[in-house]
Amino acid sequence: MIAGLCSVNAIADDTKVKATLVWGTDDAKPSDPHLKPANEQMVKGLRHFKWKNYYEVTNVNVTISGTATNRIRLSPKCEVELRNADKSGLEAKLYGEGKLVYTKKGNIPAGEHWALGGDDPKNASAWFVILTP
Amino acid sequence: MKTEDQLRLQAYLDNEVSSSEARQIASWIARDPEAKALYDELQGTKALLNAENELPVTVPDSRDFYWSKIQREIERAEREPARATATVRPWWIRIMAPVAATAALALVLFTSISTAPTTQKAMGSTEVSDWDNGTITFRSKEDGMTVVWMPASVVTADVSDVQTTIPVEPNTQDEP
Amino acid sequence: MAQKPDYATADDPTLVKLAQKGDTVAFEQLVSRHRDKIYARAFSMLRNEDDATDLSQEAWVKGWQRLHQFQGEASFATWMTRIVINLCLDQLRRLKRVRTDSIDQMDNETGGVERQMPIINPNPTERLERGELRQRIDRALNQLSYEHRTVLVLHEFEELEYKAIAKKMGCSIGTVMSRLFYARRKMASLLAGLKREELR
Repeated sequence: MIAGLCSVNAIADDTKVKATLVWGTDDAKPSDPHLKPANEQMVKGLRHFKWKNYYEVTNVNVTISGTATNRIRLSPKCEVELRNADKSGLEAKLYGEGKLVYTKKGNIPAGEHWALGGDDPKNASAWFVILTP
Repeated sequence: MKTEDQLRLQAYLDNEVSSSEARQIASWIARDPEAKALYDELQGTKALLNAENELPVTVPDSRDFYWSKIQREIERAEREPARATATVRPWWIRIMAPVAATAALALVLFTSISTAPTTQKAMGSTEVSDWDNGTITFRSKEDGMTVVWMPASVVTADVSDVQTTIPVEPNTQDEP
Repeated sequence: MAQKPDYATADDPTLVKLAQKGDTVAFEQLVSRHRDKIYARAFSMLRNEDDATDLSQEAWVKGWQRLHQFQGEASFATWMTRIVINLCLDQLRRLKRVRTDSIDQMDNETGGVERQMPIINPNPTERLERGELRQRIDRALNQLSYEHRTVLVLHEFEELEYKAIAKKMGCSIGTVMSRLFYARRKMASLLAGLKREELR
């Protein structure tokens, strides 16, 4: 038994997860009307990073049924594959250009999020894939 | 021949050009003896440099001696986990907001989310995890977020194309 | 009573699964099986036995610590090779700050010399036996600067793409292309030079 997990929101058989691609930048808001400032609650944890502004690029709601695998395209190069991993909780695989970049497994505590992120040196910006059950 | 043309020949050899450019370069090689000569030389060198032509070398130490040092180091690292946190590379400081960077451990609860066979830790312990050749995982209980940070230097695939979904200025362009 | 696994005949995935559960004997078997390959990659980059031994052992320790992250997308040997390559690149970056490599300086000063090199017969090493050829290639690699040798090793022997090499070496794709071009032309020249000497 792992201590400290009393409030874990264990992933049930059918699980709703929201996957959001967020862009972190110091630039002023671009003109693209589809971009909007990221939800404050969602990006509260990103305040520890140096970027001034965070924008929502894509937002996808998905229901993961049983042991099915859901692959979500968040941008032309970025995909995330979600699956219930039974007792291990949620399994999230992040793909860049079709190649597996990272796999994360575990339970997301109730009311919390996962953020898988990295920097883009070309543009001095950052990207985050935020998963919210 | 200009440098950029020489590099184009090489990129063609290495399959690092688009199919349309590949057709152009193939045509160029066919009609230009100088290009063909250089391409042949590059191709010849490339053909030699493969895994089969690498000189096989073996570890100079005996099996037991080589393993004993590894085993000692594994055991030492497992006995002294606190030293691992003291030697956390400061590179992550560069991506932190200034306030957080100066008081990172005070503001953010670093949690080891390890499932390593012999370093299982209870949730809630405070340790920076440095996994996967440079990725870092930390959990902020206060903000309700677990972050896995993958610096561009260790991610071999491009995930960072957020801007390609957004109309960008005409002068942004990928390198060849 | 659970049967003790036959470590010597078990395949890598089986040994990895055992090691992931804490079986150090399984991990030792993996080390024994792949130590030469990992050492060889370190040696090809560092060109020093002691450094290659130290760094390859460090790679194995890191491999043990990160074993739970190994997902099986690549072979275990490939995964370990990536670890040792990254350690070697870190080491080479540290060494570069203090090194006074005359070949490095010459490369930096001449810049563009590869444009002027005469075209070399593409088969300077024909009729050489495999063992002899490997020796000659190795001697020629030894004469390159660390930057040129590294880009050659990563591209030709590890088959990484330009972009992946650029990320690993912390430079632009253009720099990777230039270094690779120079390294190849220099290798062609060195191998042709050795062949001509042989004929005297």
